[in-house]
Amino acid sequence: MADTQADNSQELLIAERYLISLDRKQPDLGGCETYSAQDMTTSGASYLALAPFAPSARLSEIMFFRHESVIPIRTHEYSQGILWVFCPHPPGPSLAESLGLWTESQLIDGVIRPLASLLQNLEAAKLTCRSIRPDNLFVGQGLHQVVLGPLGVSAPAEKQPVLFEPLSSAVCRPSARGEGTTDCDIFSLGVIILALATGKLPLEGLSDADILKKRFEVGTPAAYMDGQNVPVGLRSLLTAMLSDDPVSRPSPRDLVTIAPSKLFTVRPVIPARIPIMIGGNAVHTPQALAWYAGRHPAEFSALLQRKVVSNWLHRELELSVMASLIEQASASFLPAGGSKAVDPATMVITHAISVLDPAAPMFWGGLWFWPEALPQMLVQATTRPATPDEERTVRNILSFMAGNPDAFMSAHLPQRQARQITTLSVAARRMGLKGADLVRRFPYDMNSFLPCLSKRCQELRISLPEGLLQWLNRHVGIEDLPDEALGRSGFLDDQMRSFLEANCARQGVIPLSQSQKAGLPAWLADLTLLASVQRKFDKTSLSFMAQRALPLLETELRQWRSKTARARRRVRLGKVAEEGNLGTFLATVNDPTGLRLDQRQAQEAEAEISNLMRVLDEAPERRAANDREARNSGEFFSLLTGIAVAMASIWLEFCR
Amino acid sequence: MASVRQAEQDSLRAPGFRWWHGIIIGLLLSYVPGSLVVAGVLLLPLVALRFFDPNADGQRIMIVLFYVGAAMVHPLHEAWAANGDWDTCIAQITQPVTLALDWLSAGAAWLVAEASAIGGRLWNAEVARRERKSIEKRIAYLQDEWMSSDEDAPAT
Repeated sequence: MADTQADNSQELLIAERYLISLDRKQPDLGGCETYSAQDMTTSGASYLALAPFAPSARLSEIMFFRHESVIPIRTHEYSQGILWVFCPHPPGPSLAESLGLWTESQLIDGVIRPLASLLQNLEAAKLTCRSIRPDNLFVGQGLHQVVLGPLGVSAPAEKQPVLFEPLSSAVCRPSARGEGTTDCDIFSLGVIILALATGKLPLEGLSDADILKKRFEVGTPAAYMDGQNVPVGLRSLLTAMLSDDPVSRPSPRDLVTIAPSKLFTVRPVIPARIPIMIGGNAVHTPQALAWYAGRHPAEFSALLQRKVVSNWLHRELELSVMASLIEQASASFLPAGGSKAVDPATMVITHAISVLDPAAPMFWGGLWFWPEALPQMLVQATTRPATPDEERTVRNILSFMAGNPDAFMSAHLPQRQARQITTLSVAARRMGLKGADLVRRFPYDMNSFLPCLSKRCQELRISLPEGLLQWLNRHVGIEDLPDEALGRSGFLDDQMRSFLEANCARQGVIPLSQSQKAGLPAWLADLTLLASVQRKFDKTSLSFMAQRALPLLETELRQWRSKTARARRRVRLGKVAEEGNLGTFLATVNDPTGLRLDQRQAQEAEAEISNLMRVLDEAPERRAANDREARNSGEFFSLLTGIAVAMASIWLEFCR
Repeated sequence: MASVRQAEQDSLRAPGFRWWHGIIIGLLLSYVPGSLVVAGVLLLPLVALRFFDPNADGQRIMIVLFYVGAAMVHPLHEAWAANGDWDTCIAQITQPVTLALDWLSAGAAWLVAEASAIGGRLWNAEVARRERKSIEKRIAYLQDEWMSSDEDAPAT
């Protein structure tokens, strides 16, 4: 952003129409940095300009979604490859400022019905909301009607507090929660209703870990509502909405037609009388055991091996089917022959957890996550790693999962996880890459709005290839890119390469990393990639970059053997570099036809030189022959003059 | 006259005389002894050349013969005009101008032959030198064009 600020102080004009005041920062909206903006064509029309960093991958669908209970995205524009989203001002302050105390009828008319109708429409469009939280809900002054902030401008559920997430995603890190389902939104809506009905957030003041612990101990409805002054008419509704079992939660259709004091039935969770002890905690339900298994995997696998878990399920909970499944799972602790790459112990725990709680996210490699969220996890680990080796862990998981979907399919995972893993492996096959390249490409391929994550330009949020090209063209000087770095690692870093290749692949251009494998120097491979990006996306000049590449490319001219051809091409290179068209720039040097012609001519010249040398060597022999010839011709000449003299003498004697 | 010269030439060129050479010379001696003496004396330079320049081949002899022949035209005409009168013939061959002219013509023939041979040789040498120079120039050009590297390339 330094550039745009330098260009015209604190104002940024986009699409000749929207004027963003970068110095007038507004409270974050939808989890994005927000600035005030003006539409220049209609005077006085004021907007909010949102600067999303890594928006939802489905933003293009979400942008066209309209509902009266959500702030619409009016338009989106790119400025120098940077995405800006414009939306109108919210009608009033957010609920985070003051919750207020709402009556049951106000809640039904102003919160439940409008949001349920929103969720119903979203479900029809196969979208989820995942942003129902107090700071994203706005209430007009004096009204009791909530409006949700713009959808899709941040990664799904990434900004949701643990309190507002169902257990199936609350156990994950914010970036690992994935798209979720409408049931997850119903849960968040339930928490909001509870907070508005009681006037304060439940479990206030507890840390995230404590909240989770409490919820697993007694179940979320009990943990949130016990001891609270919940209106009687909402108690049944809230118990259903906050249920830890997604199947028990009401559907949006039930909520749209809700009447006051409507009753919902929830299958009661029967806790075990005698708890199972794991990591010093007494656990009463299979769901809680699954969570603790993730926290204490070693103890859990010991319990599995001693068949304590299956016995406990069978005797205390009378869940005989689950018990026999668990027993089958633990049987695979025996050394497995075929799959060497899979750590059997970890896979067994993953399998056992999915048996204990089919709604739980995947547990693998020490992390709770939904497979579909892996690209977003990688983005988060790359930009803001929580722990130093987080990025490596996520990379390994993603690389393994994309490469070996069969290892997970054989573990009989719940359907939702299996579907997500299949999607990942299909995407990986389509990319046709391997190892680190594949992992780096993943986020870009899955999310077309993702900005380039290179350390050099990450802050700028450049998410269009032409924007990156222009930025590179401005930052290609010797101070940004020293000569030895340029010679060693080229113009781009790995993230930029993956970003450009993903964008090329989206346009149907074959990825060019093969050129690098063909033994080209890194900078030349980069230039080739940049040239194809320029041809495809951007026609503007890249003269600074071309001029930076000029000395490097001139050394490539050595393969031309003709001196004049080299000189001619050097002159042409200089001229093309000023024009800044990388395609013709490279074509000046990469000209196979010209090169072949040049080589043929060089061979002809060599042949001619050896021929001429032989002629020179034969000169003495030829001189002897020449001398003989000279003598002969001299004598012939004298003979002729002799005849002439004799004839002249006869003529003088007789004819005078 | 022509037959006399032919006979003389034959006797000089071929070392072995045939029997009919003797008959012809005998007949000529008996009919025109004066003219034969004139021709014999005037052809002496050829004999001398034969002795002093063993390399002189038929071609050279032929050249000298034409020059000497040119000098012989006038005395033989005189001898013919006097009907082979012996005194007139002796007077012809004792005239120093005639003798000098005869020997000078032989010398001139030799000189012209040698000089033109040398001139031709010089001309050929000049042509060869020019050719060699142009070949060397072409080789230098080709080597510069195709075999040199660009280390001295001008900085852009």
